Amino acid sequence: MLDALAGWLGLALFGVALVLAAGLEVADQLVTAGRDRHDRPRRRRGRRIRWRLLHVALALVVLAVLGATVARFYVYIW
Amino acid sequence: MTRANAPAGSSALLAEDPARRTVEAEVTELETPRRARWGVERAALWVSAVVAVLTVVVAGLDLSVPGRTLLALLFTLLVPGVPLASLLRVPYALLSSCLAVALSLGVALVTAAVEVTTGWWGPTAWATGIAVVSLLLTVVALRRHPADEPGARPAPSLRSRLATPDRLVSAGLLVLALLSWWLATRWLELDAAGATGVLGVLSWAYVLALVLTAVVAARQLLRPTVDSVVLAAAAVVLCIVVFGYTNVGDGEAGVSVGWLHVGFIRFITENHASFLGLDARAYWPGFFGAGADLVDLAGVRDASTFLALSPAVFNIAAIAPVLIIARCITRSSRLAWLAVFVYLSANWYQQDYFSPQATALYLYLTMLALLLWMATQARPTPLAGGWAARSRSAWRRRPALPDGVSTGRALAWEVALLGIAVAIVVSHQLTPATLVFALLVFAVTGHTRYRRLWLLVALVFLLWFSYRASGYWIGNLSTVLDDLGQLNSNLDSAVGGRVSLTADPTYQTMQTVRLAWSFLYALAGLAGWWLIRHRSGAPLFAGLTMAAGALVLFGSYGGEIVLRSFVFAAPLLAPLAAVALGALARLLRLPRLALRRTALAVALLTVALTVGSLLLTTTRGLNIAFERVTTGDVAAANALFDRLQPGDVVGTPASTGALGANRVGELVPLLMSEAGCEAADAVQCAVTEEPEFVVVSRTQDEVGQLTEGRPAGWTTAIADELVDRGLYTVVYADDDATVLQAVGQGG
Repeated sequence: MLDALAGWLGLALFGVALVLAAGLEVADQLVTAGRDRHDRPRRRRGRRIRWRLLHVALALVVLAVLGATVARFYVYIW
Repeated sequence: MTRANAPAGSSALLAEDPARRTVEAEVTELETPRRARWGVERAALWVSAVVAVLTVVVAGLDLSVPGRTLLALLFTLLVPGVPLASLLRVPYALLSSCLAVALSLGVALVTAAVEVTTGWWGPTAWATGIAVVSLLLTVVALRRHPADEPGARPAPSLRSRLATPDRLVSAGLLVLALLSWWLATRWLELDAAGATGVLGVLSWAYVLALVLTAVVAARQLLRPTVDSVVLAAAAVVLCIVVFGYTNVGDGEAGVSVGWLHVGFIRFITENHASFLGLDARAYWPGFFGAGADLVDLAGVRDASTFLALSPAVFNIAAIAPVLIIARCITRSSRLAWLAVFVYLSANWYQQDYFSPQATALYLYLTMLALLLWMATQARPTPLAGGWAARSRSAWRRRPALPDGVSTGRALAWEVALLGIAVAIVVSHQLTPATLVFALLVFAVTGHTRYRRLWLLVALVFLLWFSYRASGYWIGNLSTVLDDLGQLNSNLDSAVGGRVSLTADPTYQTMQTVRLAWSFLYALAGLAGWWLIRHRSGAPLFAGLTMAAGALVLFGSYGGEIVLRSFVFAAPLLAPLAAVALGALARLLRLPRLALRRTALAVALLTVALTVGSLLLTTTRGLNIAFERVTTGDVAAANALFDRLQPGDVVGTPASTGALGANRVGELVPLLMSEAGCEAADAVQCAVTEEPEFVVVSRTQDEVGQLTEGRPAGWTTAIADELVDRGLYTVVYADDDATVLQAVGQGG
């Protein structure tokens, strides 16, 4: 597990984090643009919860990425 | 210049208080007439297309035509950035130009990193691919015609814009300044430079060049309406005069590390791979790979062709982004131009030689300029309540888009910024860290719409560090982690380490002048920030400056961390210092004096600018006696390379010269000092370690005299003793350097 985290699994986590962060950024820009133009209603409660959950997921993946980096240091140095 | 509450007449000169100027005034100043801009843009598109085609044809057929080097340089700077920037349609023309260059450089760096890391080496093939993409983008860009858009304003005629009498006079003075400078370079005798550095060998012709440039700048800075074209010309001439002085005058480029970079690039050219395992910099190969591509496209022997003018070119390139940043901070064209001169006058750090950090700094400045410009245009929601309430709500707010900019276009800008950031990540270790901090400051203070850009860049940085630079940290992680958070020791190694107790007393005093000049600069920046502390952008400016300073927490970086922090903080400190200087000028009633007794005011400002330039010359050129690389050093290095066998050890009493310019990995360096060799002295070191070659030089002698208090001729004494003992024979000698070869090694 540790070896995987230091290798392919860590790399995969980086990929997931990058895609999730980029996706949220694009979505955020588009949603904000709609709100700026006042031509789109504010998000419904369900959407807001989903939005927050996605951010929680991003935070968790970023933490996992950091963990994978530490694991990589650990495996290769010690 | 439109200003809501401007007084009548020559009021522009009197009303330069950035704390009172409105954002609207700044917005109006930054607009460019669309029709005028399109004419220039269309010409740039055609030029970039011609450069793309010609470079590929000339490199593909390997034609030895004059101007091939310039063509390859233009290719690196314009292709495919010009069409990309045109399609991004940033309304501010100067910013668009910066983006064009940054995007071209970014593509060159990322492409080179891909070439080097994958082994798909082929500079001409990759250049052809980039040229084809660029031409396609050019076609798309040329098909749209912004001049037809509603609101297009007619451009004034070219003649009326260029050929004013004032500009002709300024041009004449600047030409005279360049002629005087050229004369000064012919008279420069750096062999006589000692503890006072270049200050001790200055000629009147050099000072005259500075004075003439300062006169032009001072006249413009005190006019009711500043002329940006003349000020830009003055700033460019100042860069050539100051940053090109020693290299042009000495005949070879200074700073040994620059020559080492030439060696790294040569390694990539010959091996089509990075120099992994030989140097930590190999794990950030973007710059070195791009250098190898450039060498191939230019058809030159090696990258030493680009060394001499690098400092001048990098500083000229920095003028535009620094000006934009300064306009955003000062909200005044006049103070922004003053900030450019302040920035140049304080830039003594010698980080502008042919290097990854100089290239990455330009990319960093462009990113900062775009983000600050967007922040200036957006007018974010004002914060209410106390500090705690403001801090809580600041990061949640989101600035609006600049007028007329669509969501898609803003997203495209963000993609461009991310691309530039990736280029920085693959090219330099330190700049990405500063960039992440800066982007985080933008997000936390609520001054950017790109709220996750910092995270994206941080992830890319960590990904590269973790997976592509593993060879670096496997050997050095303990050193990196030991320095982490050690503020005191990092500061001590950076500041205290610069002045040795055994150093020459005059040299020590001059080092203190350097520190004092930087301290004064930081103090002026702080004073400027205090004057605008109530503006909505003040926390952002403070945060960005501190982000650069935060680097001190992360390591000593070989004792250079404070210096590097200043390099990143300088583009923000300069505008803030300009605000403080503007306030001081108002306090001294200089603007009123400029209206009543113009000549006196111009004379006073000329003196101030000249003193600033002389201080720059002094502080920058302090180490010139040993930082220079003489023609003799280069000749000695070439003589050594001709005799060197792979694995040969080359001993030197100090690390100067051009020994890194070739045979990287084959030459094993040995520093014959207590630090590099466990022996009582250099002679004993040679006896015990038995290096195949020993090189002594004038610059090594100077570094020992100035930084360690050794007697003059100490390196020559070492060489003489080694020869007298019959251990070595002289295989090359000139006035600057001597190469010894061990007896029995073919000498």
